[in-house]
Amino acid sequence: MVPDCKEGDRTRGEGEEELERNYRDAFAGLSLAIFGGAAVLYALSKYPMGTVTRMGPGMMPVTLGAILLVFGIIIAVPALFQRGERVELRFRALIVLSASILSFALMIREFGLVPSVFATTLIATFAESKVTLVRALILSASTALLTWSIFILGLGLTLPSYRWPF
Amino acid sequence: MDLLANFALGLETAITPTNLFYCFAGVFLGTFVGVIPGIGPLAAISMLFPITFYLDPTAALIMLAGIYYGTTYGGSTASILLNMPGATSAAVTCLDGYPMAQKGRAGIALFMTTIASFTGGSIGIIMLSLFSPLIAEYALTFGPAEYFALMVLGLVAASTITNSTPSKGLAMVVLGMLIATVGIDSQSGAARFTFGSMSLMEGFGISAMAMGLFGIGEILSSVGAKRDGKIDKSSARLRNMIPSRDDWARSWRPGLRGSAIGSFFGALPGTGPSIASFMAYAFEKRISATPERFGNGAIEGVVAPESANNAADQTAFIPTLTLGIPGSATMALMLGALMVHGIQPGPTLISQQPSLFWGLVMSFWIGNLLLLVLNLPLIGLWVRLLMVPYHYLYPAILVFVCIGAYSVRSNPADVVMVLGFGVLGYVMRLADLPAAPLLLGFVLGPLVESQFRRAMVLAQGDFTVVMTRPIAGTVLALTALLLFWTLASTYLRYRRRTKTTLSAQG
Repeated sequence: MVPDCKEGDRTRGEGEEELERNYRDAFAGLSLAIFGGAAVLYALSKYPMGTVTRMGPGMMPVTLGAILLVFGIIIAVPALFQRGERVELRFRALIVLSASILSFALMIREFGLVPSVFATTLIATFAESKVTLVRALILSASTALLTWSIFILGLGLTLPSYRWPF
Repeated sequence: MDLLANFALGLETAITPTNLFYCFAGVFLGTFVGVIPGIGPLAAISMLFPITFYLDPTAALIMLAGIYYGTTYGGSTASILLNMPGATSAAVTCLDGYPMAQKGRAGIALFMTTIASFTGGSIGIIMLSLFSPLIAEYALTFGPAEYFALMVLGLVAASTITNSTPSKGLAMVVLGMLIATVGIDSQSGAARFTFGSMSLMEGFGISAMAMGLFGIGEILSSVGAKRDGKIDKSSARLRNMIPSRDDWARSWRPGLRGSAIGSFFGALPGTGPSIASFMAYAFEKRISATPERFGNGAIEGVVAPESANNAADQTAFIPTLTLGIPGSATMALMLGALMVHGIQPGPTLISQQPSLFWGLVMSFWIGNLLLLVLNLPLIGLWVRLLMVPYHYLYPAILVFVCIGAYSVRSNPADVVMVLGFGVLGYVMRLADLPAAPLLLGFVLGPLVESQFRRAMVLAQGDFTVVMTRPIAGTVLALTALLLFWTLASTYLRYRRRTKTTLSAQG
């Protein structure tokens, strides 16, 4: 689904360093082109194209994939002849916040709303080192209370507020 | 007199306690997120999108719309006090709003933006109620060919006009349309790109996509980034807010001109409030006898863009509700909210759902009145909110997104899907690829496909039949012209940039 998340050097150009080529756009265009090309090949092999009057399920994906391939190239090729900025990927925020969201997905059925929200908030505070642990605990508890009163008390969502699976 | 009867019907719908409550909730939340820099209307609407599944369509739309125009009111607060736009449509307001604040006139700037916003909003609503029925009646004669042509124009305009790199915007529209083909094809019944997975059969949900791209994507890219800003608290005291006679005299004409410019650009596909505010500012500066005052705290430079972006907010509903063609990603979400409830906006919407349409229009008046109250006496509250550090806010926002995603189908897999789209949104930000055209393509993709199929069946596979229909042909020709113009200008700019790069190297 995410065609280009492996490349190491990206984001938030604070413009501190200039690069010889615009690698950001080159990778973006290349990834889009590969994604579009793959869609064309896959759709061609699996779905009938049909005719223009009676279009088959393959017509749209093949057309769109081909256009994406072309635009990918249009983005990538000029980028090779331009200067670019260094892009910085903040791994800490990405990993911590992903863990925080995943913890919600894993806990919500088994433990109910309040423990899940508590855990999600607590984990999320570790994405920046600006909050002390005590404040993080207070924040998590108050967020849990707030969401409980909005979603279960207020909106009446059919969600268990607390559960112990063991 | 017809209009009055419609207004009466609308008022009846809009002032039921439920609808009033959701109108208030919408504008309140809108101002809230508008004030906080970094969270735009798209993120806010995406996050609250799942809640609207539980409401009836009128209340849902009233609340979502309230968030939308509420953000525009709130957006100017951060622009003036922090020189940091709370929403992109308020970016121009920084130019003269912040200098005003530095001169100790922040209170007056805040007061005048609120009045300007109200004026712009009101004029936009008048335009909306006058032109929508006319356009809807005209659009009744449209066939699939016309809809296809208009949608393509909308997609091309939205992805090229506001983006600095049009090829990226266009690529994102196409990617969005491609993602929309995932799932069961409604025409042939074939499962496309499901890879044997049952959960992909229904395709991706618009709420998961919007929440991921704009909610989580926003948080991922702002957490850990540097933030700063100081605020002068005293500026928000009511007695420091009263403008002088000179301020009024300077402001009323720019306010009206801004409203007119905003109404026009709001209704066009692809332009919307940000372009409208920019145009209004540029226009005022051009015709001003003292253009050198602009950028140094000229009140006209605050009033004109603020009235323009609020007028544009309202007229943006014209194509969305009368043709079913959204001009921006935000409007695409409004369309999505209606379609979730089984209502397909189009020329028959006004005649078939008069209470929904006119109720919405009247709720805009009420919402704008409420915003006047929220932004004048309560301005101190918003200023205090601006001082809440972001590291206390983002965990709570994250939790709201998770609960919203889960509540749609009580399926934890949906939360993981939101995370997936969030990572995609983050990567796209890093790669400087715009996310709004992706969402627009995603919403319009299936509609474009089905209209094109129908048009081709009617034309017996001959595309020239579509081209020679007067309206469809003109619109497609316009689209081609726009495409050619943007690609040509990008090419010229690229050549200039390469030349400077080469000479810098040499």
